[in-house]
Amino acid sequence: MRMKRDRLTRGGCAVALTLIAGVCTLDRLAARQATAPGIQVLPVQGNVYLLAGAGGNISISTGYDGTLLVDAGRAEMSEAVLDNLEQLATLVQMPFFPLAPCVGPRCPGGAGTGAYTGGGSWTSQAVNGTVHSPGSLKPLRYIINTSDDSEHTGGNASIRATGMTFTGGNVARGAGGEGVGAEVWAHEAVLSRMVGEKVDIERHPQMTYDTPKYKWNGFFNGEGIELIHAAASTDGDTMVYFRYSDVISTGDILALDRYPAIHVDRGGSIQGTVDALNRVLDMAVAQNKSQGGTYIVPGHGRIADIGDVANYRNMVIRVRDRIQESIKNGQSLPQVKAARPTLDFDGMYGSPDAFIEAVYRSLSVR
Amino acid sequence: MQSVTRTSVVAATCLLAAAFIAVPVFSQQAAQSGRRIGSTQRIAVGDAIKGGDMNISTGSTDFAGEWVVYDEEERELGNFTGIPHSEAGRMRAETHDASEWSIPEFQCRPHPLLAQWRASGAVRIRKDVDPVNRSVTAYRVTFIRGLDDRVIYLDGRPHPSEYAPHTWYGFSTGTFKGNTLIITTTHLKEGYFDWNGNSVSDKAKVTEWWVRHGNFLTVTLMHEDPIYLSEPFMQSISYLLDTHTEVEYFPCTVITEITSGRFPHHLPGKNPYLREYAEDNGIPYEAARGGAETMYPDFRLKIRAAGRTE
Repeated sequence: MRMKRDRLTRGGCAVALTLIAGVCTLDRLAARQATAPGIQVLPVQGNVYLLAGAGGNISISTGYDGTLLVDAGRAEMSEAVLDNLEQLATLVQMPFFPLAPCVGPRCPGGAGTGAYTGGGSWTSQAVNGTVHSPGSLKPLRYIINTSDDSEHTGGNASIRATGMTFTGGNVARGAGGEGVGAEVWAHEAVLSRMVGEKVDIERHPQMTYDTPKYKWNGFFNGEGIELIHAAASTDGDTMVYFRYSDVISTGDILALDRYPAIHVDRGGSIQGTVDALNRVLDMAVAQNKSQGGTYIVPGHGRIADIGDVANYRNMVIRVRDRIQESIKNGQSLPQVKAARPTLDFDGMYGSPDAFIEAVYRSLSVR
Repeated sequence: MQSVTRTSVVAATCLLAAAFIAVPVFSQQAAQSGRRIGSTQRIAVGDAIKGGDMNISTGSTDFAGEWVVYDEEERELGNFTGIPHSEAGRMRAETHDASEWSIPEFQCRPHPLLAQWRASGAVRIRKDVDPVNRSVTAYRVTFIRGLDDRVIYLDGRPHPSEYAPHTWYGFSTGTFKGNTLIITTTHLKEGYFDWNGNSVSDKAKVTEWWVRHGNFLTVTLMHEDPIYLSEPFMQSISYLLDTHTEVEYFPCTVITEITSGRFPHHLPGKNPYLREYAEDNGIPYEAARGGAETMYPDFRLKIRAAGRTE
């Protein structure tokens, strides 16, 4: 997120005008601040927001420490992603008051529901000045890739370039270090594959991990973050767990609008997919009766909870078992496809060909 | 002087008459302009009393109270008669294994909306009231085996984004048409509408008509599902107002019931129990399998003719 003044001013003014016009809730505003067709920003829970419509889903944590993204969307969507990021960051990092439905000494409900509490009002020059010229935003500092898929890493280069890594003064200029762009993280397998496939170096992760789980080296925006390795879609999949917000970003391990994209030739497998989905189910806690509680941002599709993940996992197991039975009966791949083992799910998840093929190959390898 | 007085009286009378004529006109304009505030439609309170199309309830019928189910119906395994299954819906139902209730995520799963109304028990309906104009802005429904609140918004708000979470009861908005409350629900989770495998996809839409006749509440449900149904499916159920009932707390504890790690389901064509219902009740198996044509009287003639041929 480059802190270009013109963009900042534009975004800030737009936001301020919108708020002044009376649309005052952050959630509602965040959901309606799309500047590109199809892009939507929705609050998920706690610090985490979803930016959808730029390729793979992007999870956003923005606040005191700056901005962290899980995935970067498609390359051609980067400008739209950045516009939306700046608007969201302005709202979250530079809130101004009164964000209340009623300001005055006799508001119903008393303090906390809009009652006048002093410490600022619209008549203050300082407040008005802040509204019309909010301070600089904290920088984009990290992008975590959930796989090497271009739907998730395509925007790495252009979005990363607008950010900043605090390297320390002895590494780069300035007290905190600046000018080197945000830091891109991924599992080691992602970097290996990008190098092997001669992907543009600007899209590569600069930092990798190769352990089953990597704990972020400190709180970011007030919470711990865990990177959890899985070999589901590829052998370099990462789930990101925001521990306080209680949000898991799964990448393509879960995609509620399509069948799992299992790349067998890149280390993905059907069993790895089932295992990873079970892992999500292990981590997630329902608020009540298999609903709410831990929210899950899938690689594609809507925000999910434990009930949705269970339904998806069950679908994967049903299809796996059906294809396994066909293989046991000696059926070839064309025969399996002709038997339509996904018929009861195609309406929800779309074309099954690649999925059936991947499951067949994955089970045949074993 | 007299003529001046006369003129004044005539003028005053004319002005008064004009004022009387004008007041309703201005009132009407105010009411009309009151229909649009922001992007959602609102109406003046008076319009709700008259009935007709409206986007906000002012309570032309009061549904609040504790209600107990008056009639109920459960379907046996293999009884899909009269259900307009699509090909996908039939496959889903016929591969269903009731043991799926034993996985941890489903043990405390509430009945999804369509099944919930038809589950035995009680329901509590409460009102949210706008503190300023006292209009009813929402109904909150608590089912005995369900989540705490199913909210039906009556304030004209739109349904949420396609990326918003889906829930067991979905997202509901309602409008009054006369004394009938018409509710539209989207954003449902994938679930079921009967206990025997009849499934609901996450693309389903439900329309409800709530009608109150004295102490009876009749809920008619139209269930449209582009995935699992080939035609809309209508059901209705009645509840009786019971002033001596309180909806009880419904606890649920998850225990380990499956240790194999598998998900219970039948492979296509391998469910051994599907014919039981048809055989026990002397119904042709083809009819028990359901499908849109089994909803219509002509199907009897077809089955009868097929029986004669056999």
